[in-house]
Amino acid sequence: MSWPDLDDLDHRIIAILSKDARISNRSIAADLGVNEGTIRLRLKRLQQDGLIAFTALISPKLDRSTKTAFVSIQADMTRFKQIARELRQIPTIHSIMTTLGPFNIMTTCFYREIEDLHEVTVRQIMAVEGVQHVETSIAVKTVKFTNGVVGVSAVAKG
Amino acid sequence: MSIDQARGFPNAEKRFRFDVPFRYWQDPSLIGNDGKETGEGMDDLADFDETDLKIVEQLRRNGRATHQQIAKALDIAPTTVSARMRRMEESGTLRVVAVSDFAVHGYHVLIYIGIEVSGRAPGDVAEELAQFEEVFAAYLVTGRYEVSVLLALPNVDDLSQFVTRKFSKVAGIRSITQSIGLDIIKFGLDSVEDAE
Repeated sequence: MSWPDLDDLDHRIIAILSKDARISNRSIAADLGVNEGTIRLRLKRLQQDGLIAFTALISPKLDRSTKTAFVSIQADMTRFKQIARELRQIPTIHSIMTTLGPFNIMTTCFYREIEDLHEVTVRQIMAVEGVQHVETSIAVKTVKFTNGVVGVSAVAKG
Repeated sequence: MSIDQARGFPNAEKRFRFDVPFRYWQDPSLIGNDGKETGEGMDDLADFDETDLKIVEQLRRNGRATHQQIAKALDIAPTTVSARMRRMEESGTLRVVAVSDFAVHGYHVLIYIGIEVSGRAPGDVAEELAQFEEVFAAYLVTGRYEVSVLLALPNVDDLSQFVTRKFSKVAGIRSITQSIGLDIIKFGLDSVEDAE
């Protein structure tokens, strides 16, 4: 994780768009008292550097059935990062982090039915060469989750 | 065919509205003034049609796509896109937002902590931990731990203070197992298809 060089203007642009990403560059520029071109350039840089991304969130009202599980993986230490990258293609895996600890890859999965989780762990994750052991833990209650702050750079780096 | 169907899940088309499950926001507007949940979930679902879902999928990929771009991609009228989006946003079913990297907020250390609880309700331990700003996420979980926590810190030097001043003051923690984050490989922004 690198240290981005962000100034006050960057932070103010991000704060505005974190609430509503549909606001036009012109309107942000007017709000902050700068040129529209400045906003455009800043946004381009922030996106290119993998610091922000724009996405849609839907209300749980629409689909109450999504549940969270943590799937922790012990993978071949000599190539665990590569194995973690291979797991990216599995759509139900929401996030992947390589870690130093009892497991070297930790993932978060979203699923709807318990058999879907079985499908992901047994048929998809364990099928990846080099995956040695998998442990699944179901989140029965989310006590806290911080919205809006994510690992954008993971996507930008590809 | 949805991804779920392609993967061989039975009855996928009946159960799944979206190909890939979503991260929701925790929405205070869902709670009415009386503290009860507002709205009828099933009614909202009935109001949503395929066009709405396709528009949402486009916005998941690029939240700042113009009405024209979305309309072109879906071969529908731009006015349809704007009307649908307005309806979804006003009914509180859709939010289009910027998400920002941990680094933007000065967090450079991520640690997963699995906690074994004894002598206290795990829910109480999780609630107490959730009060700390360093705790980004807290869950009650099944398996070898009772509580799972994601910790975000500006740097490693902050760990000592956090543990001595905050973490160690929480009653009921029997053991902790930490996993230090090395690299974030994926963090659900649905951009996997163009990641290679």
